[in-house]
Amino acid sequence: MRAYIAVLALVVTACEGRLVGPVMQPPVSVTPDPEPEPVEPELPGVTPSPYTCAPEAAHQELPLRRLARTEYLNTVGAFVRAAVPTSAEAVMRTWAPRRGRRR
Amino acid sequence: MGAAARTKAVMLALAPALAQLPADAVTRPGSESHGGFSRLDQSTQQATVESTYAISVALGEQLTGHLGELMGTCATDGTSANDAACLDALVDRLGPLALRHALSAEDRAFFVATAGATPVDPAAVADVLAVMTASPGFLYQLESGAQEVSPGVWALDAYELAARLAYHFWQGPPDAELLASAASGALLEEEAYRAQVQRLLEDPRAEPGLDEFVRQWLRLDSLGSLTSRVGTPLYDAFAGANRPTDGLREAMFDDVLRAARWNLREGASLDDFLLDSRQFTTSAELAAIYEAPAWDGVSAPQALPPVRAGLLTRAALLANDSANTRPIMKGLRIRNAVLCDEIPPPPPSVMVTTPELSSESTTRQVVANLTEQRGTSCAGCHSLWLNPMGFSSENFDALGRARTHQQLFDLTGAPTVALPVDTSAVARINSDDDRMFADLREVSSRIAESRRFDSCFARQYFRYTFRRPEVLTGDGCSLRALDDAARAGSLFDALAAPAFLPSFKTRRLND
Repeated sequence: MRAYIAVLALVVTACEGRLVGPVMQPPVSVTPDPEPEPVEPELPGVTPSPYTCAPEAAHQELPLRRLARTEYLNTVGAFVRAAVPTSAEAVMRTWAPRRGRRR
Repeated sequence: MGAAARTKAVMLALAPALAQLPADAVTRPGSESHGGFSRLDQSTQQATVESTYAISVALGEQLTGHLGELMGTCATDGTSANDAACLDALVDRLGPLALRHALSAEDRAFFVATAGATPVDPAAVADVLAVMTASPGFLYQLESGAQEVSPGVWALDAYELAARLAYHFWQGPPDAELLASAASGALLEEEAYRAQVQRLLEDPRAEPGLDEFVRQWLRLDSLGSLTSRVGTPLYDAFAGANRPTDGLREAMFDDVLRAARWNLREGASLDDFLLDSRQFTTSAELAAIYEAPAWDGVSAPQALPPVRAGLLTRAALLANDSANTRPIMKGLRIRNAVLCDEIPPPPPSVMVTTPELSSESTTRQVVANLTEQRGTSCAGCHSLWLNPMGFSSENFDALGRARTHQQLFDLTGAPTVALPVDTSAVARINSDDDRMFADLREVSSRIAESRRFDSCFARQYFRYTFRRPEVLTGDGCSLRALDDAARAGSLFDALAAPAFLPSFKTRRLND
């Protein structure tokens, strides 16, 4: 079973699921530009690259969002508190995950 | 122990796990040469895999050490006849929390099967919990969508939306109220959704995320240790009575973060935050630098001495780890982080050197001589964009103390001469603006008038929200909506705005 968990963890990191490819921006309530035009003043060399509001334009989207470290730890904490509400602190205090893998 | 104290205790106890998980690297968006956000780090290292695996295994073992509380009396009653039902109940209770979604029949069967045949022993239960917390639904934000709203674009379902909201505003999973709103479907209704966004942003759990954003947006961590040169004759002579302790650096950060939180809570605008010159430090050490009494953290904050002109004159944005100001880096921060100007890196052929403190020339004179020589490859960027913006705050020294003269020293720390500082500068907030500004106070006011602070905030917050650089055409409508919110509303409205973007509520699925 431990080996199975290890395999699962490795598979998880390689998994991209169904969420791939460029994303088409859905219709939005923002009024589109009549034609693409810079919306910020141009200062050659340093000003921010101007954007254009074109609802039909596609953008790249992250295929899959990994939880950030803080998010992951907050999620673990919430899970522990839900699992054993009155013993959560004790579990978290004594819990020192090992780097080594048990088989 | 209250909820807040319990959370603090849990986080303190998490220290061993923190040490094993790789930190997210502050990742620069696109072609930027500085700045960035740790949320943009979407890499997965081998150490990440090993750590999350180890955590899941340990989690299972530790939780099954409290079997009665975990599963109820069915786990400790000495009979195996009810083991299957007992396990089913555990999976039904914790599975949705692990996956942040209602369990499908397949999910449920998968978790139950992990335990193997009855009787179910604690090791088997530990395996179930380990698999739950090592599953993709736990480690990633999986989104499958509920309804196709345009070709290939699917609206998130209520649970997915709840997770996006919670992770965006709280850096954690949805709470019971948010899950209940998702379960009932209310979250998909505009009024209930708006109420949840407001609740999440008003909740103290939103503060760490706001702190992270502000800290990384304004690049506060670029300030090095303020104590590294303490004990050297030159630095000690420079610091005088304000010789820094280890706490001063964080106090400087805290001053900025408290200002942001206070402005958020009182409904101030982004420009109010930019120009807010009130005292927000509770540190006596930083208060001494400000020449103002320390704030008690509760009562209405008082105005700092008039020389301070808002955010850009807070010590965290002026100080560095030496006895010498760094006008170039100050200018770069304002240009790149505050105005979102795209400053190219130095030409590869140029050897970058940090201007050293002179015993006979002001820092401005040294920097100008070094970088503004006509005909050099440095002069263009430095004389037009970087230096003037940095020079405008030369009436503050490298600890953020106000000054009218720059006291110079020799290498033994003996004072040589005090020269008047020159803060006049053509800061070029906009391309057509070649006015001379007297100092950073005037520059800050002009930045506020230009609305470029608001626009840059919108762009930076887009990156933070969506964890990627913007695409100038595909994201243009989202950027415009965030820009409009930043310009027209309060800081609260600006921070809430991403949650109302169509791109926040949808997903493209390749099916």
